[in-house]
Amino acid sequence: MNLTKQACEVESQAQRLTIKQLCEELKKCAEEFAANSLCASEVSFAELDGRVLDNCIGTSIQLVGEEVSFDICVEASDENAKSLVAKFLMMTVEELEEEDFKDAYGEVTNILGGQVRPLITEHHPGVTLGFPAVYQGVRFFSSQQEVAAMNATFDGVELVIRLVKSSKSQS
Amino acid sequence: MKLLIVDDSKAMRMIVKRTLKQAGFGSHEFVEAENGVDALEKIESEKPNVVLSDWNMPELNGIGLLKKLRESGDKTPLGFVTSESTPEIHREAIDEGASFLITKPFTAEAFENNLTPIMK
Repeated sequence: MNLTKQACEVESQAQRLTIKQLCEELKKCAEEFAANSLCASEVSFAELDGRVLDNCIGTSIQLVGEEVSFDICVEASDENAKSLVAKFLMMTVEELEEEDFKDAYGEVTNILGGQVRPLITEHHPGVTLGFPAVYQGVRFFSSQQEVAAMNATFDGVELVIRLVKSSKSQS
Repeated sequence: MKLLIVDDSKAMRMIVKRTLKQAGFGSHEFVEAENGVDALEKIESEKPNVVLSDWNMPELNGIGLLKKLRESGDKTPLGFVTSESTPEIHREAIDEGASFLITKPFTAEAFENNLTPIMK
């Protein structure tokens, strides 16, 4: 096979991975995380309802490649974010210390990022997983980035999960 | 026996420890390190029987820790507990002499299945 043909095949493989497919994979990963790490028995997903979250706290992680990068963000109200982390650490919200909260909240996106990375690297070889970050408020993205978002509920804890694809050609 | 848990996240070290207890390893002694450099010091001073290490860490990552350990002739069993789950990472870990690789989000069974043969 000549190099041009190979390059075309790699490109067409990359094009086959849509943000919708990746979002479906992220949903499966989030379900596994909820079952294994939170022992959640009721897990549901819904289309983003656009509600404004009170005192929103987010955590994100980046998967970076040469031509493309992906951001996975989990956002929740302060109350829901703390409930999520308390379940994750098997503590009560009252027992949570601020540093442990931020650390564990970041681990949520670290785990999700690691879970979806195999599918991404099938289509975009060389994409690496960064370190998680925790931020206040909702993250905004440019209209040129592809964004897929969903509401998720794990045993009553409400979250927004976003997946953002940025291509180098867009920047 | 003594187990060294290496992870830059204190919360994750706490979760690994809790899961080890759920998997039936609660009677063992746990030591913690926050990156590969810290782990090398703890391996020297604490002489753990098994090392459980994260992959992505600042200063010295998990695979770097394993390579340094083997270069120095240390044969302490080391397994990875990581969110990295690509086949390439699995292959690299095993090629470098890792005992196992447990991916996050993990279960107590994963620890039980992978650690029991080593802890005998």
